[in-house]
Amino acid sequence: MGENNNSRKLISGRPKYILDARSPLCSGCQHGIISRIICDVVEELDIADKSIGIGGVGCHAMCMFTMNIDFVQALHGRAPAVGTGVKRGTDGNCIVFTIQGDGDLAAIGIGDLINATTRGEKLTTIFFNNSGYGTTGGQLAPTTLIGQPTTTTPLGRKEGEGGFPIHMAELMANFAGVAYSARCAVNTIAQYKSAKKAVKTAFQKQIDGIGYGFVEILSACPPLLKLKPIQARQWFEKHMLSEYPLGEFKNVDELKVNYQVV
Amino acid sequence: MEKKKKIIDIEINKEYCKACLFCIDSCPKQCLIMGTELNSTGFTSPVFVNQGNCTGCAICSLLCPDMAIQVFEILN
Amino acid sequence: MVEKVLISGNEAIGYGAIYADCTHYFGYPITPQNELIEFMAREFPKLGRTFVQAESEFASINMVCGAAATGRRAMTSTSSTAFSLMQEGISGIAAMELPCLIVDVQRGGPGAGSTQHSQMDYLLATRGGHGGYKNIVLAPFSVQEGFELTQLAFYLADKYRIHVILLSDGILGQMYESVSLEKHEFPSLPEKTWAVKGSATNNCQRKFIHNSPGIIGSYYDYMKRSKEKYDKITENEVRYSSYEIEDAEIILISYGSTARIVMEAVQKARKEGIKAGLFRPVTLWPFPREHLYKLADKTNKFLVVEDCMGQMVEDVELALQGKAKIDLVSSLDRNLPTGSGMIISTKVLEKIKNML
Repeated sequence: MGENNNSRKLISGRPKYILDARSPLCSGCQHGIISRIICDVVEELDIADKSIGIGGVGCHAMCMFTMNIDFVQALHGRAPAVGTGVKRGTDGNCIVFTIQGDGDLAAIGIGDLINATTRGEKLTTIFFNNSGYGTTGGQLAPTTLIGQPTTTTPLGRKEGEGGFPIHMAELMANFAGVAYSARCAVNTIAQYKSAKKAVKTAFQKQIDGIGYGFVEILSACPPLLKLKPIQARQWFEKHMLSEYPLGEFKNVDELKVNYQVV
Repeated sequence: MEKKKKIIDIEINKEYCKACLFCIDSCPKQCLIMGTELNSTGFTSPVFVNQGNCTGCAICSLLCPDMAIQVFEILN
Repeated sequence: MVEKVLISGNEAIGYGAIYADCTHYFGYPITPQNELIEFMAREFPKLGRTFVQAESEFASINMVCGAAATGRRAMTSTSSTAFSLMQEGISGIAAMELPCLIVDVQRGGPGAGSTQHSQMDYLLATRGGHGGYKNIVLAPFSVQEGFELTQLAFYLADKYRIHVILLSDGILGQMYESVSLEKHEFPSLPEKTWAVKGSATNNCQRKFIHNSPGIIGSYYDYMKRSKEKYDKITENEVRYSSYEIEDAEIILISYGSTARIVMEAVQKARKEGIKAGLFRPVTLWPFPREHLYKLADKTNKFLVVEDCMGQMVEDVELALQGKAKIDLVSSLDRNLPTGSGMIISTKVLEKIKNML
């Protein structure tokens, strides 16, 4: 890492909490940008040394290998359950966040995620949505777009047959235990800045003991789309943003109790 | 009085770069072009040109998925 | 003065956990262990400890994983069909070498089986899920022993950095017996320096507890370390109990609540002049192989009594290495054809006589 010295000042470089090694991700995988955001946020909030991340199974899990933060690996889909154990195990003193991908969060793990909010767990989840299963070679995900070809929908996903893309950020906003739910992207610098603000807000909800923080961050997967990185970004701008609107879907400073038996 | 223009230097970690071209594509001032030198894994990496045009916005650094770009302001 | 209470087998395990300073319980209701989860729900918050009712058994085992990763004494309890659900989680815990306690109060299987006792999870408990890891398996046969073995379980788990399974059953879980509530003292244990609590606790060097020994680091090292661990446990932690075995001409082998039935059968046999004895494994893994093998010098008549279609009998066959004839009293010998059927002592006595 470069240093400041008398002759020059660092404006932007590698985040403090990224380990010094080549990223294991594919060329053009935007997961790397998301992990930069997480690292910068934990640094700015000064919680890096009391944060514990829970990684799931999938390409997002590569971030476990690159971040200089305590991590526990969870089985596929179980990150919110493991996160619950870690949060309770540290008596709520640590900031516990999960990083999960399409399958981990929206398929096999959707029950654990929703129930974590039902139980009122104060965790933070960063959802890496790239509309497919990258690690296993490019299969259908709950987030795959209608018409999008994958290795298990070679003719393109058909509604009624392959199903419908799931909108996690909107869904999460419905749950009483969720204090913050947003969807972002990291294609342009403006999107990047919004994404960073959203991630910071989501972590703050946990720090302040308010409730569950959820940020869905869209990204393009060049190997899944069988496109070069730049073309994948263009595909993303055209298609992903047409299906998945960006924005905040819930942002509260207090969780609402509907009714209480007295 | 005219605001003094920043002088920027950009360092690219050739070994970390995977030639995704995001930085070249995102730079609003066309200060990066693809180089020809291969790293140990077979990727080329960008070269900083047109230094005079660079404003130090650091978009290249922030949007680099491999965090291979450092942006410095040259002082005095 | 040690406090004595009249409690159920399920509750005794709860008491054992309290006395063992277990701080985190995660579970899900399932018959016939609901008394245990309800006991934990009442008692743990009173003591400032953590109780969470999870949304499923795979959630609860993964919560145990998370809490154990932070160095806390954590446990869950379940029964047969949901014990199956936990296998992936237990395999993950084995890969991570996390200490914890999993209680299986056996009910009938396969599938939803019955809601009443059985001993049909022996192979599942002792063999485990994918990956070929080992579980320490402790099998109490009384409410008192359930209380004591729970405390032992936490000690062994921390001593070896391994998960422990306590194998109970519906009869043991529901029956009431008097228990002396005494806290067992164990040798001191090293600090859990491997636990994850935020990098500030480790001079800002981060820790990463993973469940992929074949992807991260050396697979060979993990397997070698596991083998050394299992060898040590096998050498040092075998536990069993013998009853009327010294001059036995026929040796019965049974564990858990069925062993109590067998004890009664042995007593009845002795009254009729038959020299029967009971060998009761307390650790189902490590199985007391060597001790059984030596018993084959006394007699060549062995009768395994278990409430399933023959699972522990396989381990007995392995242990005896063909030195003796082994018969079996199984679930087909229950007194009733329904889920409530039991192996009763008259049937066992009948079999003993047939063998002689």
